[in-house]
Amino acid sequence: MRTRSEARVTRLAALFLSFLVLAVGTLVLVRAGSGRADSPTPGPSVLVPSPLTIEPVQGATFVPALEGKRPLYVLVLGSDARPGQGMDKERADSIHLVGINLTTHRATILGFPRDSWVQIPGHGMDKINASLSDGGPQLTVKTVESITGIHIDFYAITSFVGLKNLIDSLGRVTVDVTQPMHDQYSGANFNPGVQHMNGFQALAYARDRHSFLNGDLTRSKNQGILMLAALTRFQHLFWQDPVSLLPILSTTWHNIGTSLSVPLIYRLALTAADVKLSNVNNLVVPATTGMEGAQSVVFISPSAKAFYAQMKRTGTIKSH
Amino acid sequence: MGPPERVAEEGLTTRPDVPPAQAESEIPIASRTTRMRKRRPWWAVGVAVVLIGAVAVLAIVLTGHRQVLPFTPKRQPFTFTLGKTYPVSLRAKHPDAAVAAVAASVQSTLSDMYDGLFLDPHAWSTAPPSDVYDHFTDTAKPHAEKAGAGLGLGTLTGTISTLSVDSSNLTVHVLVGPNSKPAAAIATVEFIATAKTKSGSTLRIDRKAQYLLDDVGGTWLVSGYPWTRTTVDKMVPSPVPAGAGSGQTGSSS
Repeated sequence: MRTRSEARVTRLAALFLSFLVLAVGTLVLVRAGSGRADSPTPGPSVLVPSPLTIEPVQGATFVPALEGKRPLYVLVLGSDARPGQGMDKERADSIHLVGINLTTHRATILGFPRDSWVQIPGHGMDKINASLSDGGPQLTVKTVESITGIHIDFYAITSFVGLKNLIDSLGRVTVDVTQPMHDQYSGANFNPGVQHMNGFQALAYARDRHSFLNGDLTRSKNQGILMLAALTRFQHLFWQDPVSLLPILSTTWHNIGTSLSVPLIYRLALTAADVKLSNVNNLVVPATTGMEGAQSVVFISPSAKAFYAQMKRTGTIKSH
Repeated sequence: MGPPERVAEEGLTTRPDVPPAQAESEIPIASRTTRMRKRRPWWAVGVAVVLIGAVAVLAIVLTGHRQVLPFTPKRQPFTFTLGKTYPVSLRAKHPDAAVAAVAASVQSTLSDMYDGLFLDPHAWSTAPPSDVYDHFTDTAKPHAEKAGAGLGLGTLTGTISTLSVDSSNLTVHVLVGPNSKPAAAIATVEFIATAKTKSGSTLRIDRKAQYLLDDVGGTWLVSGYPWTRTTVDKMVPSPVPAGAGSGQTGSSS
């Protein structure tokens, strides 16, 4: 005859067994339920991707471009300093005021021919490129400010070698050459058509003025075209792999002199990556070539004042 | 001494050392036994209810319908596997400790973010939990909130019943300024998970993404998300039995 405790243990065991049966039954049912036609089959077979793979999806994107209520102005200078020369002590071969509207994310590159005959603060009338050798980038900034009436926020200057290195850090840039450029002074040797330029070729393209009737004016325009080509290439690299920004930024830092801080250069680079290329235009101040004494110079047209006014108001100039 | 004998009959032990007078003063054994008999069905019913409840919960969890439960089963927070860290220095030397600290902070931020975007059951059914957006800078936050599920499961939201991580990897590039301080970071992640849909399908989700991160008061937060790419494969049983060869990898190309 069973004792009471034996009976209790038996009942507990029975209950536990019932639970076990119930749990195992549930598991079996669940597994069976998941074995429908579109579901993986349990057992020895493995799961592999279906041939009908869903296409990769580009998710949401956001890049923290600079934002602000007023435009940002950066003076971009190319010094004709050769290796071993201080780039802020030689003359400026390339002078471009870049205005960026931080609300509309539009920008304008406004070129000043290096032979522009202008008033240099404290130095009288001279070619604008002399402002760099006279007083460094700060004086060139002052000179452009006095011409345009626009307060310039920052400057960035590079040299021949610097430009070559910057372009090389991007790989090659693509430029549509519109007329023959064969110039022994700059080393330019291009036939008309689309050209994929390395750093050396890009430098030659930016320096050549002998291939054109209005020399300095077309050269200034071409320098802007090169900047746009570099921007295009940079955007391509960035959107392919955003990490590419960092080595480019490092090369930039080591090849320029600037009043920009590293965080601001980083933010400007992100802004450049995000701007639509169709929202950036490249202009040269309206001007004519002429002589001042024995010097061949460029006279900026009075109509340029309308450009300055527009650029001061919006950061950009509508293309004409 | 009738009552003690009846006790013995019922299989209970007697206490011979208890004086009869004391035993007499206690509640008669016969009536205790009767009450126990009356209680037993309730006890059994209680246990049965608990067991049935446990089985029901088990079934719900196993069938991937956790969301119907009135409580959320506790889960382990997700952590990215930290791969390599690459310093990009604007000066000759870079501070290793500072770069490692950035990587650790980035790992923490992105792990928490992915936990909310992919592993939180709310993200499967409706949208990522609101605290996901705490991992963004003030500038990026409104954009991230607007993107919502687009940051994570996207159009799969509402279809997922369970999701588990198969593998993850995080690499961090740190820009070190000329003052030797980290100025910016870019993280590259790969996150592979297996999801079961409500319709019973099994999906393999492969998310590759890159994030820009800024230092905000010592914590690195997401300031941008320029690149994300998600590949979703519907998994089907292999036509080749397991162990018959390793040719399956090529079949997915």
